[in-house]
Amino acid sequence: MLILVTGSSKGIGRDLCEEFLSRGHIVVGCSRGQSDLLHDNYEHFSCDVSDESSVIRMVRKIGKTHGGIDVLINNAGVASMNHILSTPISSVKKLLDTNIIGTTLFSREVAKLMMRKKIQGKIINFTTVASALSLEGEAIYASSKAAVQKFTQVAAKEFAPFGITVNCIGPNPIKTDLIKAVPSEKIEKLLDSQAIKRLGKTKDVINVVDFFINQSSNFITAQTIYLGGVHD
Amino acid sequence: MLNEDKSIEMIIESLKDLIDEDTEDEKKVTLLNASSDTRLFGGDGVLDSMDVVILLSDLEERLDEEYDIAISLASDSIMSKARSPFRTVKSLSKYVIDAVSN
Ligand SMILES: NC(=O)c1ccc[n+]([C@@H]2O[C@H](COP(=O)([O-])OP(=O)(O)OC[C@H]3O[C@@H](n4cnc5c(N)ncnc54)[C@H](OP(=O)(O)O)[C@@H]3O)[C@@H](O)[C@H]2O)c1
Repeated sequence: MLILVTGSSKGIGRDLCEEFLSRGHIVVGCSRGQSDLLHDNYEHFSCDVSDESSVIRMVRKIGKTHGGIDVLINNAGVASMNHILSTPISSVKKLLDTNIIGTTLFSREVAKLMMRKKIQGKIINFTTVASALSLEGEAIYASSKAAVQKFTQVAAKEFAPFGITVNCIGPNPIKTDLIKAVPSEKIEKLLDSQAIKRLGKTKDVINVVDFFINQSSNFITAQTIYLGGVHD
Repeated sequence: MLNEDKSIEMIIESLKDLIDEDTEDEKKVTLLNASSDTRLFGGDGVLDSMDVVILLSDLEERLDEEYDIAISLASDSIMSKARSPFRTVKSLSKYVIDAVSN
């Protein structure tokens, strides 16, 4: 399979790439910077997911080189913690650009390629438990991910005629750079609101991704699965 | 260089590609015999909204493959029955040329 992972230079995206490479898949990734992941079956693009022309060029190039994309994992994301009253609008725009514009752009371009190549593709988007739990201090991050969930539901309907499924995964806290600035008491409090009170691991994410991309999951679309027993 | 004749030719080729085993006979005849005046979307146009998104995507691919132009033809007016650039082959050709020159 050819799997495209956005935000692949570190964190969850990087682990997903390594896992799929170890299984013999071809993996293409992107991040704004470079990647030090070197593998014969890995290709990296320096591409900001919110830059329309870069995204179009990247997806077209993959189409020409590899013929198509089987799985798109819209993992690239940024978070910010702040009180609404002290949040600069420039930060809001930056966050929405990556989290919602990026997801929209890649979904649009990759779904067109899947449609043209008649690939029964799978698209997986990323939300967060912060959205389901309406966490204080995460208004913009949680709202952007709620938008990703709604986008997932509508895209699932619009892409269904082409045999493409669109689902969403909502991790709980997983130790990556994304949450390193979050105070530990806050993380503890969050873990306490989960049914199963522990940090998440990338392998928990991989398990859900595997379920969504399994060919037997062709009837599963528009769904969000949260880790740790969190729900809307 | 993409001129009006070439873009019309490209659209007419793309329209033929919309035909599959489920296409009704009357629609098939219209698509096979399309010319610059053929009505595409809105009114008595031959295309439905699903055809329009498939055609848009096919034209983007042809622009890339035949002219090395990687652009998006997305626009807010595409699904408007009254204002869509997909109303006729001719209006679509003008839209494509404008999008390329921008
Ligand atoms: N870790 C958690 O606790 C947690 C919990 C819930 C949900 N999530 C979600 O999981 C996903 C991955 O998070 P993570 O923890 O792995 O984050 P991370 O460690 O901060 O990594 C984020 C990745 O995305 C890339 N990226 C960020 N903005 C980008 C842009 N505009 N264009 C292209 N690439 C961009 C980064 O590379 P560059 O900076 O080089 O661009 C990096 O490779 C995100 O969607 C996040 O919201 C994470």
